[in-house]
Amino acid sequence: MFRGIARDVIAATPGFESVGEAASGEEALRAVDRLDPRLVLLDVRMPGMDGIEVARRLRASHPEMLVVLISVEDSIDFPSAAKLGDDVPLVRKQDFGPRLLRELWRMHAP
Amino acid sequence: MPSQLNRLGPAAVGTAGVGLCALTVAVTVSGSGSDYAWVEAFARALMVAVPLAVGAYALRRPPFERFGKLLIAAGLAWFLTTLANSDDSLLYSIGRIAGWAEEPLLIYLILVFPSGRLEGGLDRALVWAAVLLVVTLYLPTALVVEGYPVPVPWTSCESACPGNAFMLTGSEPAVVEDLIRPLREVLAIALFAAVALRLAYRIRGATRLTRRTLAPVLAVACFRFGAYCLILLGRRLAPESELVDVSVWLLALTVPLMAAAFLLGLARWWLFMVASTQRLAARLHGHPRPDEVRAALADAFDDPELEIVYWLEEGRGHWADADGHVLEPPAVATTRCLTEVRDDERLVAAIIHDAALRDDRAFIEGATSYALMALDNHRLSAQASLLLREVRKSRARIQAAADDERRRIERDLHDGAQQRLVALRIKLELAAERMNGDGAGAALLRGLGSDVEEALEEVRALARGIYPGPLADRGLVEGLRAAALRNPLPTTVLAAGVQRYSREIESAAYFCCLEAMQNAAKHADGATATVIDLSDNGSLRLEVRDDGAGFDPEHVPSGVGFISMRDRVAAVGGDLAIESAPGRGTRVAANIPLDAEDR
Repeated sequence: MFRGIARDVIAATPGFESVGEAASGEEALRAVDRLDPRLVLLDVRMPGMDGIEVARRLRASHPEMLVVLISVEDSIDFPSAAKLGDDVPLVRKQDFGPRLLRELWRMHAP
Repeated sequence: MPSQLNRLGPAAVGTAGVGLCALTVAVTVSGSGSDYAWVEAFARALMVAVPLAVGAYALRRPPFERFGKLLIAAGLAWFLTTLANSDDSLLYSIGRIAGWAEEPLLIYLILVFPSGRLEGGLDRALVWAAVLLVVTLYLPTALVVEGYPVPVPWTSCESACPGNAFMLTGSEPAVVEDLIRPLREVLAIALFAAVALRLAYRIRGATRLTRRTLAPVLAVACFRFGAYCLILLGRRLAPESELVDVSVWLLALTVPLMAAAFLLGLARWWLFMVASTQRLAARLHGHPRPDEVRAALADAFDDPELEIVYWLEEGRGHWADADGHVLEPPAVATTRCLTEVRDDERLVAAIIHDAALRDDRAFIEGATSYALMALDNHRLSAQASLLLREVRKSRARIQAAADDERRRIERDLHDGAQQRLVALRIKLELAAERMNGDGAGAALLRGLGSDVEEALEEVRALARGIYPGPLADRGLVEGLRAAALRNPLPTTVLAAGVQRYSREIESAAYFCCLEAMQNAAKHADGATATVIDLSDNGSLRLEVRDDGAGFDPEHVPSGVGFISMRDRVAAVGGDLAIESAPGRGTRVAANIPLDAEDR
């Protein structure tokens, strides 16, 4: 369901364009390899490989790409996510919107 | 005859025996022409007296009453054989025919000793063969012979013996002397050899007790066989010599000797029984444990592989071992057999032992009666163990069902309500943006957005309380770390070798630690930190320590959920300990076994 919302938000934000979606961690890795995006939004809770693991792999394989972790939970619930460092921001799903998107890009984009 | 013997005591048998012996002596002395008439008479009297005496001894000693009766009957029959010392033709003939019956009778006694019953087809066949031999080759000749062959063990008449009083035909057919007599002699000796071999075979496969009982009988049986062979040889090689006479006397003596061997065997059986049951009674004194009872019985039965199984009456009833594990059905190999132990009619337990011990039924019953009380107690404790295990399993199932329900609710909340609220929030934000900033409409929408965020926060807190996401997704350590970060009291989580475990174990450990953590935050005055220590070395150990004020274990403050912690941990087969003292902080420690068997 969130993918639909995210699509709407991206569409509503000028300068951003959605190029692909994935339903699981493995699918996400494959999609990234295929589509080579600049920004990846990852739900922390996914079936199979969880978002944190995917984020770690993507940071290793595509260091110039911005990876953002999204979760309904607080960041406080993901102590291991903190290990990924500031390069992978963790944001709350409910905060997601055009303003946040622009802010993220401004702060973290290479 | 046997029912009448029931009413006769040994005293009556003794009286009858004395009378018969007197008769024997009289008959022998009057019928014998030799110088050693009195010695002879004494020897013949022995043939009657010894079996009767031994029979009378066995009569009063269960479990051998049956054999005692048989021996008495045999003694009476042997009395008839001594009539063969008479001068009178009729008495003589009766005596001689009775002498023929002696062989099957002796074979029967040897094979039924000491229980008084024939065991097995082979034994029955041997007895029937002996009877058949006498009926076909001996008895019919009584109607056609002039005189009976000599020398024989039952009479010392060698020549000019009385004739056959039952002769019907005019003369004796030659076939009797030429064919029948030699044939039946050989058959008789062969049959007796078979019996002796059967006895030897029985001894070979028997328990120590049976060997001691039967050995004297086998010895005399071999002696008798030897005497037979001597007679046969003597008749063929040196018919008129002393050898034949001596052998014949030896053969006669085997009857009282056999009775004496029976006596010796019975006495040995009784001595062994007494010593064995005394030892058993001493070892079973007090409150022996199941393994001690087993060892004592195995020692008494001389059967190291003896096993005990208990009868649990629940439902249909089934056999179980001492820990209440059901054996369905108990494994009994072909060389072993199962003997039930009953308290009157009630089945208590059973003993699986060497099949050779089947003969010693009386010993088994005596020995098990000593152990009956201990066996009954162990049966009850086995039943209790079984029930306890079932209660634990039931508890674990209930707890698991409750936890599954929780996870389902949390998942439903996450996938359903939370996602909708998130989507709603974002949409409201989008809508507000679209309205371009600052009008009343945008402000209203932003207000709605805040409300939605609050609702979302409440739902998330609810979900977290029911079953936290980190616990479900990433396990016990991550779940506790997440909970620790929320705890107002600084909490450290230490973990050593902790992996992922089953849902039941992880949730039991998590909620137990959570409760302990929350207790420390709420009730431990002056506490500065809490430490959660998890380790796995075969079983999961968890410890929650705080350095607060502690409490007196006698007066547990209310609102502290120790009972629910204990219940949760017990439902997965673990145990919980709480240590605290005023001024010394509090320590909650739990140990959960990871081996499924114990649960």
